[in-house]
Amino acid sequence: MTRRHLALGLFIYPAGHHVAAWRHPSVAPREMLGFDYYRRAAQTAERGLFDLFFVGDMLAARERDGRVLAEGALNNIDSISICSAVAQTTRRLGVVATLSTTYNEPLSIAERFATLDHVTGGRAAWNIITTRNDDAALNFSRSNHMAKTERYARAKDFVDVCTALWDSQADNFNLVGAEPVSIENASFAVRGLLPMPRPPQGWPVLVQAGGSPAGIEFAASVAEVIFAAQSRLDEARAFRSAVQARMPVHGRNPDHLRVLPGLFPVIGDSEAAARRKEAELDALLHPAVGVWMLSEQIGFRLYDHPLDVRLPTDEIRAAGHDLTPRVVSLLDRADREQLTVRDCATKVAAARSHGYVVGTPEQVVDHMQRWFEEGGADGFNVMPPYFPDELDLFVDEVIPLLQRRGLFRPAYEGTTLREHLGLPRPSRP
Amino acid sequence: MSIFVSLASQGWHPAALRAEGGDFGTPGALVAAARQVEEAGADAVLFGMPALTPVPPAAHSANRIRYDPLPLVGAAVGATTHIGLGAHWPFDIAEPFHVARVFATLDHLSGGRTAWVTGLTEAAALRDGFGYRPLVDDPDAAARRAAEFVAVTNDLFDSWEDRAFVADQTTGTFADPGRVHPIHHQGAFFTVRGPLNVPRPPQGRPVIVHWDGGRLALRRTAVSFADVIVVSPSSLSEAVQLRAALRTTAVEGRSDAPKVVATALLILAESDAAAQARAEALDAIQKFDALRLVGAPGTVAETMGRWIAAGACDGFDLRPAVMAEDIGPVAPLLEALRAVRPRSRGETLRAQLGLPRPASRFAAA
Repeated sequence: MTRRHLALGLFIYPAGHHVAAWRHPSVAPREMLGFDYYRRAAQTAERGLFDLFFVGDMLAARERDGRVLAEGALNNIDSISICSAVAQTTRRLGVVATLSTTYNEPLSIAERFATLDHVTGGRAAWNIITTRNDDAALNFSRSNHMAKTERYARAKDFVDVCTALWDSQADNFNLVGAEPVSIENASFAVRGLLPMPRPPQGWPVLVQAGGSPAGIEFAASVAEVIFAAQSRLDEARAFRSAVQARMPVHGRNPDHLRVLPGLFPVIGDSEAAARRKEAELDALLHPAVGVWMLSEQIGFRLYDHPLDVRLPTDEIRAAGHDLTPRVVSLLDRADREQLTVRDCATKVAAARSHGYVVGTPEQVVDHMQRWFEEGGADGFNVMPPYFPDELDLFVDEVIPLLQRRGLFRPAYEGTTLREHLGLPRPSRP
Repeated sequence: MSIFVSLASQGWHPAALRAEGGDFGTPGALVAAARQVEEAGADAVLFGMPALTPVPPAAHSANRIRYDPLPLVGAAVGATTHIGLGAHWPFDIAEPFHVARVFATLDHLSGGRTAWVTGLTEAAALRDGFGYRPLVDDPDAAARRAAEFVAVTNDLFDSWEDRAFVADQTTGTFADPGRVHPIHHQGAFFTVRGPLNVPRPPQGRPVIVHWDGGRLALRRTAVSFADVIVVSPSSLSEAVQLRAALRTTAVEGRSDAPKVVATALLILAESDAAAQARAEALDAIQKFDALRLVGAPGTVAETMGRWIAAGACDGFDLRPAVMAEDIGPVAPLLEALRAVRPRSRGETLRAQLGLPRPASRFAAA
């Protein structure tokens, strides 16, 4: 099945996706904890006919040796709270909240997302994460973060409990008819009944991010939307095919997948103007933040490393950390282009390693069209460098061009997120 | 006089569902009820216990449909402007870090309007759904765990001092690391390093409303941590005694006493006789034993005023018997109470309830 239209997500992030966004003169950093900040972004996304509004989650503060990072902006605040609040001020926009399967229990989470789907009238999605940050364990009475293979095994069992609970009620809700279901797997033994009607979408849309082999297998088994991180078209195409190839193994139709790579657009009237904007933003970046982010991402401490020498790629590889494809690709690029620690820190921090386009609205649309038509993407999770101005710019300048080229919807057609994305509503077994 | 209104899907009388046709109780209706109660001038709405019901309660039970309160409170943040918003999040199915992160978020989004309703959940849910030994089986352990739980969440709320969030665009200092504190908590039940990854909430800490549920061991502990305790007395004299006992229990490190709020089933109608007839009709479907306020708004207001004057409580947690019928008349009820309870609007829920804003315990350090 060829999809006519791109799917678009707005990835919300405090201040914006450029790490120094909060320092941009147009940004009011103290407002980014208030409801109006999120309401405005969601309403703009809906004006731009976006499919969804995406909020991430982190379970530990950004810190280094026990001190919070002075120069870095906040992580997102709680995503369920934001999503349920903004859905009251929008009518069509889907909302994606993020919750960890490593630090939660399935019964609570099944009820939470079922309620979110009801309260949004069928516009909810769950971004299923296993939590990468080792520090989170220390906030949850555990001495060690679970290893990746265990985390993904638990995630699959967790999702299986949730889907069984969502299916425990018939679509035609009957007060006396339903019986509790028992689900037992390696991670959980649960007897339960969803204490409310089945969610309007059957299940909230299941979203996943993460491109490691374990992540791909998990995605192939449950994910309907993947928030992908490839920054090159060939990698994106390979990733998308890899997941689709594994879907039939799990009894799934490869058409029932929307891969949305992150897209960080820096837009200007001319390419030169866009470059100037990019340089202005990069100039606001504090090196400590970049180095912190780079260290976090590669799992290798560079805090005391000189900035203007080449990235010690051999040492990083030799340290033998669990290198994600994203990191492998960064290390290869650092070797190829002889990048310094500072270069890499800036690159990682600026776009947080996602797809990056600097140019005119036409150039942004060219990039999107190419990725879409050449099988690298079903759409994009748009990451404006800063809010709200750059989101307004995207909606005012890029969306109309996409529409003119027939790549994006002229109006919402459906009311649920599944309808926007062209994903089937799961029927009960 | 503090007025809370507890929202339930159909209503708090177990016959509510069959009494009015059964299609009330959508989340949208709950959010609309929160708006109505805001307009009427109540201090806060409380969203109910998460259901986690593995086994259906007795057939025809009215509260069969129960939603998770957290997305409902989030929705209410988006749909209301000044009423307080509380959510039950019982101790036994929660982690202190999650509770602190969610309530700090909600408090920021709502501009300081949130309350965390503490308590214990039903035993069966934990046994079947989580494979845990329910805390209610061991009341003393439950009380110790609750005390530790609240100590940890308070420390997490305090872990960002009020002035820690600097956001100085010129110098590039976002947070002052000297004012953000890992809490390094190590206790019998929890080990939490912290700090929280949300700056200190507008209220310092959300209001803690403890839902007593008659659990005595926990009540003794709750006196030390709760801003408000919700009790279910069965008569005026019992309420007077209970409030006096709760307020005189000596508590270390606390200068004030918690406010005591009485739960009452609310059955309103235009006349006392009509309200009485409604109550009888509901009881005929299913008997239900609870303290109740039945009558015309003026009559019920008089009763409430008498309770306050007698020192029976500092306020009420009103539980509409049937949501579709008893939410609307909350407005005339509060109108009838105007003489003893003038309309007021505090900047935060704490201010509205006359509670002090706690200082961060790390601030002096």
